[in-house]
Amino acid sequence: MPIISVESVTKIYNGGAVPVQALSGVSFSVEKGEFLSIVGPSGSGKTTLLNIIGGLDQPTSGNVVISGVEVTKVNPGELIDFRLNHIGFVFQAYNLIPVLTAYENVEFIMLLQKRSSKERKERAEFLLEAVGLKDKMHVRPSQLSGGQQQRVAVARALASNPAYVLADEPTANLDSVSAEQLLDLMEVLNHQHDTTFVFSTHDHRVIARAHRVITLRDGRIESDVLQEQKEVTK
Amino acid sequence: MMLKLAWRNLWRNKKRSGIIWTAMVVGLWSGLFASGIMLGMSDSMVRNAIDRDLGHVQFHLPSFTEDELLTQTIPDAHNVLENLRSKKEVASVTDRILIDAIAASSKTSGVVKLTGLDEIREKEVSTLDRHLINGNWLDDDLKSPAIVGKKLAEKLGLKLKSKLILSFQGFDGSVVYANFKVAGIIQTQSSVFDETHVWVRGNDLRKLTGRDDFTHEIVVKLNKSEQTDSLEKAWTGEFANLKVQSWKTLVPELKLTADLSGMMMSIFMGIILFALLFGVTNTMLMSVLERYREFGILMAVGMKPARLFQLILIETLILALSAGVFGTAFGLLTVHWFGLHGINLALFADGLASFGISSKLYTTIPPDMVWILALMIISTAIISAIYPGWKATRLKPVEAIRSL
Repeated sequence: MPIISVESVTKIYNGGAVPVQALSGVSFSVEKGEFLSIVGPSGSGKTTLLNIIGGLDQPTSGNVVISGVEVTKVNPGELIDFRLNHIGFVFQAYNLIPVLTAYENVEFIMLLQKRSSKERKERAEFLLEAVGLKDKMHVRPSQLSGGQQQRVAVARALASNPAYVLADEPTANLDSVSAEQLLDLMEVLNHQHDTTFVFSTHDHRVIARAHRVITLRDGRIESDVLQEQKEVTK
Repeated sequence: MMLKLAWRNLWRNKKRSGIIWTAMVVGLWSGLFASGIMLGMSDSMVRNAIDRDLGHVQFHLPSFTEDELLTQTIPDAHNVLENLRSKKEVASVTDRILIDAIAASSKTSGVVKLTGLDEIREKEVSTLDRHLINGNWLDDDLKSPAIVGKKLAEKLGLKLKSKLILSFQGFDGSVVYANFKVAGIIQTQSSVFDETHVWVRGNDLRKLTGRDDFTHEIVVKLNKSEQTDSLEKAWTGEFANLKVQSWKTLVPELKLTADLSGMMMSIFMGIILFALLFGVTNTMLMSVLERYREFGILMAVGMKPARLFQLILIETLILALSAGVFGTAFGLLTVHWFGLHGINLALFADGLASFGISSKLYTTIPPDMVWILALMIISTAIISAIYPGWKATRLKPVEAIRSL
């Protein structure tokens, strides 16, 4: 069963003077363990699609099923819990809580899930070690580099044990070395732990590493291509 | 974790949190200090009146009025006095004769309240003798000694040992003229009181009127002033043939002053807290709007609006309650210190004296006021969190993430 199933999704924004059709009849599905990039120029509907599969927005018509749950039929309150337990988010600007340490940022998600302190401690330490920041665990985001902050954001996204991680332009604010390091990390997590990653990106480095690339144009899927996988060395 | 998060959030903008915190502390401190002065003044007025001559409870004949004094004598006064003296709640008891009289000197004359005292017992009940600024008390060796208020002495041109002629109606309707000698001059906190009173020995008046055992007023001083109301009620039943009145009933305006001061303090503190409420709300709202994107992220990753509201509430409570505790403690300490050492208002002594207030003012705050204040501060903190908290919970994660 696919993790994400998008069926004939249409999204029309009626806010302005003229209704804007952001998505028209988009359908695709994502299987567990995929490393998928959604690409397209500005205004292609990338962000709208990402919001919809992230459970942050509802389509005008069509159906979205995530982990067997029809998210289009879930009420807003339950949707928050759904996001907490099923989706991991990585944002362009890292968006860590500045007053919490790296460890506390990761732990916070599990606190919202009401997990025990022992479980929280074990998993936060495990994840921060996995993203190579064990020695920076008790440091606040302001004392970390952009690349390090984004790695903490990856650890935070994985803390809830989600069905997949949704990464919106994760490398946009990073220098090339940090971007490559982050992608290496995500590849390793995908390879070793079968973690599903869905990217929305313009970055050719991300696109080059993706196993599958969905290109959007004018709210429709222009192409859906499987790419040859390189061997992950780490 | 929420507490930790809230606490650290408050330190994000130290200057902003510091300013509103200081405003709250200073506001509460000054409010409490001003209230302490206000309540100290009314307390001084009440205490001075009780100590000076009023006592806690007085007994008269039910038909007793200020206009028709002489015939309104308390029957069997001796037994009533003995009965009251035997009660454990009673500190001291004395009796008085009250007569409307005209006091005349060689210079001029004026209408006065002539009071005949038990010169020994009176000292146990009132502080009249302690207000002597010149001369001696009625236990002086002089024949027919009289004590006059400073203002009256000035008006009549009286000095120590000056002759004072007192005229009043006797029991048979005839006018009694009597010569007294000024033994002492007193000055209380009330200049009006000092201008209208003359005190002589009760027994001198009894001789002059030809009746050797009559009294108009019995004055009781209690061990504990808090018992005033309950004892007034109990004694009204016990002494059914007499009118039993506490100082609150005797001088209702004094009770009103005391009550009003308490109410004024609540209103005063309410206004201060109301103003602070807007300050705290503004600070928290700014803090929420600044973190709009952050809250959007938190809601996107799974934080419920109720939790977000809880976070804002905790932040506001920490800010307002810590300031509340500091401001209140600081205010109470100041009130306590000036309650012990007093504030010297000698510069305004004349003005204060006309209201019966001492020139040395001792600030005070009743303990139950502190609880009311605590409740007011907590309410202010909670109310000021509502709008910013509500604002935070209304945000839509999609819009908040894209903001900035």
